Amino acid sequence: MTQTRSPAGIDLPHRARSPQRRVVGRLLRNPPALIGLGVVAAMILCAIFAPQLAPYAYDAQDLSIARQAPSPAHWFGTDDLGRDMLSRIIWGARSAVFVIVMVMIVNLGLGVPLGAAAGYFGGWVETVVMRAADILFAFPGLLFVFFIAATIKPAILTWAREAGWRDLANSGYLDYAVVIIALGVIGWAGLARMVRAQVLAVKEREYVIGAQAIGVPTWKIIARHILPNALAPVIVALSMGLGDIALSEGYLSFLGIGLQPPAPSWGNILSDNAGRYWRMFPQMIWMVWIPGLILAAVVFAFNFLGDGLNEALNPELVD
Amino acid sequence: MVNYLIRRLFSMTIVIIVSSFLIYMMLNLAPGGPLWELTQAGSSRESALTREDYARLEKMLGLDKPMHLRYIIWLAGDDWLDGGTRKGVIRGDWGESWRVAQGMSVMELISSRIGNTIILSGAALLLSLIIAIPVGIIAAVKQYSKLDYALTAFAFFGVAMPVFWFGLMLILVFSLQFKAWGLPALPPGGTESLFGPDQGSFLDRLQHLIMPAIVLSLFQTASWSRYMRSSMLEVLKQDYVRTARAKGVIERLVITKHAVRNALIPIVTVIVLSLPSLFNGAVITETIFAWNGMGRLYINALTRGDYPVLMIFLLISAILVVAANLLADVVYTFIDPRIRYS
Repeated sequence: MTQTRSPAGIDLPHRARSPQRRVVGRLLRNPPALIGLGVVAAMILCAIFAPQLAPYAYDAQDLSIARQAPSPAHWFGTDDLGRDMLSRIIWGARSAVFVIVMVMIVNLGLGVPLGAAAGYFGGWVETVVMRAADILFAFPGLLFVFFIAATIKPAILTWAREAGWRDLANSGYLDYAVVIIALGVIGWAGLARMVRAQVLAVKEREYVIGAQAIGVPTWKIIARHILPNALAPVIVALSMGLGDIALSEGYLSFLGIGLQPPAPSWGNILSDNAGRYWRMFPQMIWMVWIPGLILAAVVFAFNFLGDGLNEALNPELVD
Repeated sequence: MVNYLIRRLFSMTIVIIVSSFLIYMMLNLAPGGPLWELTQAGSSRESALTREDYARLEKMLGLDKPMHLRYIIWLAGDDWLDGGTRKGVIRGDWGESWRVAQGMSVMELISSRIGNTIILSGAALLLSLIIAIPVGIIAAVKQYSKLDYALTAFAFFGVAMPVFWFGLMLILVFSLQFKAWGLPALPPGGTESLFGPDQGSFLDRLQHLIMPAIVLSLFQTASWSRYMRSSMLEVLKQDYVRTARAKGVIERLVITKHAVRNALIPIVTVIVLSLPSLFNGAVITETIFAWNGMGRLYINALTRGDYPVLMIFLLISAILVVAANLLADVVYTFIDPRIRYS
């Protein structure tokens, strides 16, 4: 065992297992969390290597092979326009992962600094941030996401056209921006509340007062001393929320205000196929079953993972 | 308590006014404004809207006035101005629908839909309560038993299930497949049959209600049963439960009399907070089952740019959400005397 020398010159035995290692260890000993981790990892791999993994292009149509049942050439069959379902689903993973990551960045980028500032400074900063959160909370969550998505869409499209990016405006890529903004703008409020509560609990601790006393700059106190000690519940809330983001993107695209076809999204694959499916019953079972099962599996996986993280980070909370 | 209520009501009013102002701004400030779609559709064709038409439409819908004035007119009316006819939202003039039901007053439109939503959301709420509370109690009393694990698995299933897919699968199995097999099948959508001898009868409506209510209640049932379980576990650890057991009260009475009644306290909050859904409806479930309620109205109004309907819908939703929050806090003090607000 290595010895580390503390500044005071006292020999301390090196800590055998860091807190991070202990958390990972507990996570890996939890079977549902492992399954969740596996599914999420598979999804991320699909997202990264979609061009290599997908046997066909996600928008390659071939009407002569429309509505085929699963076969060696098309593992998940083909849809109404003869597009390969497996390819669309793999590319759909890329859409889902992209949306999830971006929404998470927006949520974190807004929620953590705003919540930390509200908790640390108090006063008018706190009033402004928390009242803004109150206003967001005054609307039923998903309904407000739909509202934002539907209202900012014309705004973003008009803006892109006026800026001379007609191709971009027509490409469907801006739909991603619409979904990300709609989900990002809503999600920060809950996070900010949580971070604020954590910061309030931590900021009176001795080490913070000590740091203030020796003149550490405020931003450094918040970033180095307060936030790392306030983040555990945030990590859990985030990992629980990832499944919700995937679901919300599915709902938006299902209702036609999220990603538009031919952009591949599990939500719009489902709504596209379901609409055509009823007329074709019962030949086209795979068209609704497979994308739905995969979306459900991913949401399950995120929930398992979130639960596992919760237990790993807060072992004392588990009854 | 009175002071507390006054303070809460005051901040509630401010939140609602500010949020209604913000929604109004968001809707109307978006580039192009409410008439955006019209200018888009005709922009390259012969039927393009002429400048005069546009100006006439703007005047007709009252969009030619500056924004802040329009908001005040929407909120408080303009009959105190020259030539104004609107009475404003706070005096009961909710305006007319632009698109969804052109020319119909928003109040009429909403009252024609809200009945269906109350039936569906109410049924789902009841179903959730009837299932979730016993399930939570049993899971807690038999903690770590096989039954507990099974119920936990069910809760996971309910929380993570994508509603639209679950709905589609139910329709697939119980409407289409059952019909194909010649079994009695449930109707795939709508609130009642369009024709037939028992159209609109109680039994007919009940058949239409079954699947949407199950789909809508699934998530609530699953999460409420978890709340109930952990609340029950918390209570079972309390001293008064140990005391009751020690003095020889039989276990069934300990559970029903001492534990359950106290475990229900936090659940009441959760239930009160879900009450606004009786107005909001459930967008996804109503869309899948073609249930003609508020959720579908909302999505219709949203995708077709029916601003008067949207404004009223969001305003009422906001009021209900905020009011439910207050109600939850107040109810709490009545059922749990340990809590006092000052």
